[in-house]
Amino acid sequence: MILIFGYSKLAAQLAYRLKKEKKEFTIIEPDKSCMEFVKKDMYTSNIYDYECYDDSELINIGIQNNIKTLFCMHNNFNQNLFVTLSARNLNKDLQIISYCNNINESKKLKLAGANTTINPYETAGLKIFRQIHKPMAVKILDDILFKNTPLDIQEILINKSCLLNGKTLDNIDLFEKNNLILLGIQDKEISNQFIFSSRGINHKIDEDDIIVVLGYKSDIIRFKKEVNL
Amino acid sequence: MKNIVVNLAYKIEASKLHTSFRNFLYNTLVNNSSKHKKIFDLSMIFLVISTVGILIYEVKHTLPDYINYFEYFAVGIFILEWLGRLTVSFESHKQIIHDYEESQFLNIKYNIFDSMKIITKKKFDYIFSLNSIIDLLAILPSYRPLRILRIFLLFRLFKVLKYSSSLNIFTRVFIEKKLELTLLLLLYLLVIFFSATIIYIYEGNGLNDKINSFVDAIYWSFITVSTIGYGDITPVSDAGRAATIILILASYTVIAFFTSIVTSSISEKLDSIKQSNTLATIKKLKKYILVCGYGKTAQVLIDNLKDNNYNFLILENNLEAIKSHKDAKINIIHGDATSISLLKKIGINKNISKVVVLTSDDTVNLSIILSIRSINSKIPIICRSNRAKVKKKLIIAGATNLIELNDTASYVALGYLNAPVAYEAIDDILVDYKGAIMSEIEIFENSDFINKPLSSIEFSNFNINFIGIVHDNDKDNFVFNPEKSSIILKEKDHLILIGYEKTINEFKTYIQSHRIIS
Repeated sequence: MILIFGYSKLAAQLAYRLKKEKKEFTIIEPDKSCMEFVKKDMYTSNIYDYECYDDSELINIGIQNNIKTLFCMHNNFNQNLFVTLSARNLNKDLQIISYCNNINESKKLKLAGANTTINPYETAGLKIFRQIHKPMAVKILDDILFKNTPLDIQEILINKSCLLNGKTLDNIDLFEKNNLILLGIQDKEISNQFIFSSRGINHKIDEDDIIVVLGYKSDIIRFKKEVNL
Repeated sequence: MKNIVVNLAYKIEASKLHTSFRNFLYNTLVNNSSKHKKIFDLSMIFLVISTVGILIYEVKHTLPDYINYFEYFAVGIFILEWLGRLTVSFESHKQIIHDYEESQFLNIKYNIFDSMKIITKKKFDYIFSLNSIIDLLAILPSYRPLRILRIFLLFRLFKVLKYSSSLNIFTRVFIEKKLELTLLLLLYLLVIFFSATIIYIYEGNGLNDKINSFVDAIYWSFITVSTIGYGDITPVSDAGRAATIILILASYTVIAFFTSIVTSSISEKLDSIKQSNTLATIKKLKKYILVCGYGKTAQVLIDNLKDNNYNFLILENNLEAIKSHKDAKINIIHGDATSISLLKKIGINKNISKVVVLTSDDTVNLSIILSIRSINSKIPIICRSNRAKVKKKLIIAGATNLIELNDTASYVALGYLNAPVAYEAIDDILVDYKGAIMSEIEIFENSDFINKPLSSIEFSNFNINFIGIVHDNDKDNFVFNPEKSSIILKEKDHLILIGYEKTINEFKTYIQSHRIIS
């Protein structure tokens, strides 16, 4: 379940996309005047007018068990910060994505516990830059990520029973066999940083590692079956 | 006679020699952006300064022959220049053709004198313009019988002003503040006349042996008012001293006014001086990106462009916004990007590779796009749209790509939601932050790989991920990780790779070193 706090323009756009992807989500909007828009757009029927100063309101919605992702999208930065901090205290594993306007706000939100911050001005500026700098690469990745192409980028979590568990990258020919490209690997034991396979390190895959592969959707499904996932 | 003139006019119009000669004259004398003019201006400044130097040297020395010849040479050049300017100022044959064709069209008899009248009038207009008079005053005193007017040779120095565009701005200050300065001059003259009269009445009657005439009084008044005060003439009576005190008080006010008018209008002009400098540097750039609107989004874009050594020019209408992001290295012009004349001045046609329109007002964005499209129909325009509903209109106006802030941000949010690790990794790849980059490598002409299978490229020798290929004849179709022996490489195909900067560069050199040496 996804929770959106604050119904800003960005939140409205996000709600629209979530509905398109048929995902279930809840909206909290403390402001009465903004509530009108929530009810008008009606992307979801789970709407609350909590102010969220009280932790019990968040617990009531299910921040500790039901909710997996929280979007703090309120236009008021301080309110976002407050909810980010409260939510992080209530649930250590929650994915929190918060809206910010500049680098300083982003730093504060990350201190408060946000996993990711989104600055619309920055994303737009970067997108334009990429269109100038690497038009083809951007188009290809955009198509793969957001459009309905046969290609897909997927992250695969390695579990105990997986055949890859305990093997080193050099000894795995399953990627090549299935026409997949291994982009890289994230090993939580080492760091949160993503290691690109092009670095040429012969990494040993363990339980709880995440590997990221690029390839045709059908190939990825077959690959998953072959490695017993 | 009439027929001969008209025929001649048509012959001139058709003559290639004439057009190229005219273009040459135009480029050396008038066109500020041409290389010829710069060289010409510099050599003219040298000529002027050296001839004035000769004038000074001449006072106490007799001139050797070769210096005389140099003087004649310089005057010769000045005369040629003046004649050239006279020629460029108005195209006589065009007037004749125009009048002749009009009379043919209206079926009246063509009168050559009408055309001649207009031509003479236009030419005389030029001869009596300020520029031409300065030129003439610099030439005429060289003629022996007019040697008495030698002092006018100093007018050549004014020619220097003409050749330097930034000095032109100072003259413009005086022209723009004409009213204030005239009033001030009148006030100044009044004060001088007033005090001169007082001192003449009280001390010109023999009381002061230094003041023998009204001219003396005026001279004294002027020297005092200017705060120079040589002290060769001083007042001796009480009345004279009282007049001096009033005069000095008045003079301070006048001088303060004068200084403030000139300094304030020069500082107003400073911005336009900077802008013309920016325009000049921009004109030298071969390829640059034009960014209209300087906000938060533009800031992110510009930071990245700067880091990757792109050239760019920013147009911003709001002075506050320009001042808030001061960086000396950024080319920024204060101006309205919707104005076609400003865009023409910048030159949308020549060196701009892309235009990015980023203001927060959609109607302004629309207007900017249309202005650009009215000048150039091909240039790619990336535009920011602030509402989903106006997207269609911006596309109709001619935008090639649209960016909507909340739209892109919501995509990013969704990306993080669906696949956080993969998305962050891809984000890094595109921004080049942590070293891993996605790169497009072009197969250039003369490459040894053209018409060979993809498998002839030894990917396995490099630590890179080959993702796929985009063929030049089918740009919309990305071929993912194809069977390498089945693909034949063509010119301008792009290989898409992911790797680290070092390995990608190694691979690039490998590709580039395989070229056919012709």
